Amino acid sequence: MNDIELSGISHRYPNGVQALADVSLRIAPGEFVSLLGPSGCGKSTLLRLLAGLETPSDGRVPAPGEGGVGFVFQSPTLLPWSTVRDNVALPLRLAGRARGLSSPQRRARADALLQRVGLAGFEDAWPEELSGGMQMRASLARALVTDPTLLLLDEPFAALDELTRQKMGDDLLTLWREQGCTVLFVTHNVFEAVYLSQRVVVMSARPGRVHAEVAIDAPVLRDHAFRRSPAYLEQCVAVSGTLEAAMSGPAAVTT
Amino acid sequence: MKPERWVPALSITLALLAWEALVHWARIPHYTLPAPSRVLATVWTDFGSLWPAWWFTLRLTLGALVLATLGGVLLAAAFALSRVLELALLPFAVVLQVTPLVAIAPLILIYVDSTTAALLLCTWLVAFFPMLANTLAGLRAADRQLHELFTLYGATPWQRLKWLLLPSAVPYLLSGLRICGGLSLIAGVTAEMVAGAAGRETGLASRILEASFRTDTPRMFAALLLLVLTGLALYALLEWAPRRLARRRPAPGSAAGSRPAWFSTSKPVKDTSCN
Repeated sequence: MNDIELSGISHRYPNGVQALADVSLRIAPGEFVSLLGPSGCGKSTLLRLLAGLETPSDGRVPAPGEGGVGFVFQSPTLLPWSTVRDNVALPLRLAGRARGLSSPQRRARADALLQRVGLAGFEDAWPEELSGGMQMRASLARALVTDPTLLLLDEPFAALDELTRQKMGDDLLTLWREQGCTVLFVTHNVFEAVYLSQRVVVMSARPGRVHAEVAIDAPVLRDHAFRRSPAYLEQCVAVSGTLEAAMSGPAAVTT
Repeated sequence: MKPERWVPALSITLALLAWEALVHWARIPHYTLPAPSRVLATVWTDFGSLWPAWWFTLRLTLGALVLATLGGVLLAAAFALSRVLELALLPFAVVLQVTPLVAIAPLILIYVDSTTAALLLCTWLVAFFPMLANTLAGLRAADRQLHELFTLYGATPWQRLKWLLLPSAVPYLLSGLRICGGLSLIAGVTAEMVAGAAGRETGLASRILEASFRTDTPRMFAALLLLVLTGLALYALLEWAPRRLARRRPAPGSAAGSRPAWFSTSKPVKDTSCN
């Protein structure tokens, strides 16, 4: 697998807003990278470009690999008229014959994913019967059901309470290690970015560009001990400082 | 008992009693204004000649409603799949909508040989547009992020229509149906009035016309009563059946038999522009 390489990406929305200006980024296969920045810095736009939901006005975005892209939206975005299982199986169903999976096979695959995200027993539930966190888990299962090589998450845990958010983060890390996919995680939460990622890309706003990249020095296996360690706190402080600089001063690009 | 139940029942009963009393005390002749009791008696005595007419009106109404629903939903679905088709055909639909039925009915009666077919066409013309407009609004109300999800996984237009647009449109479709039910009856009666048809294959409107020529006011009221009852029954049916249908789905969480949220309300479109 090759690196995902973005160079000189600019994007202007039809309404004239310059969302991204000359963004370059390289992500290694299997890496967990967070995009951190204030609102309006174009981090969501970057994610949407990678997903193919937008076409950049300048520069080229690499085509997704074989397994395609998994995308987790800010809200769970489940079909209210379908059961949790059918929601998770939707990408397989949309792929239809291209994937060559029969209906029982799709069911089995969806159920296996639901088991992995901790929703076993909720296969036949309706989305509105689930809590916000559980809906997000279903959404995560759906994003992983096609076995994507790249998983994109757009502030997925922003609406959850702190405890649920931490639990979801831990579970996401477990899934990432098992799956071995590349993860690009958009957040505006410094603590979340540092805890989850191997590398934090700090962006600044108006127009959105990469301000700095901070490699996180931490074991691959992270748990509550890491959350309480001085190393974690130090790096949070450092990233916070970088973020503040990104929000106020002019860009001091370091790589 | 809840006031929602007994207050309307009481007010209607009182109004009927007042009407009855007024006719008796003021000695109003029945050819001017028949008392409610006399109207009921006329329904009873004239039932033999009124019920075939009622049956005809009912078939006309339901036939037009079914055709309007089919036509409206199919055309809206086609519009959702093809923007060009929408741009090309929507003006015609709007023209038909703004043309008054009474103005166009004589033409249709000339062009179409069978009176029954002409009446059905007239009624359909009126009932069709609200169905089309409602379904179209429903198809367009689908959640934006769900749209993006379908784009992400390369959904075909047909898949998008089947699994996203049509389910989103269901609540809109049902409210369209309630509007169309009432309109079909009104339009059916209007068309028949314009046609002025006589004979066996005619509805309640023709009975009213005939009775008015003979100044048989009680009979006019009797036919009118049947029309009102039909309208009420139709409305109640279209109000009740969807709820009944929704209840078949497993009751979510707490309240047993409550409707899924998407069934009753449309969701506000979330803003996900650039963040």
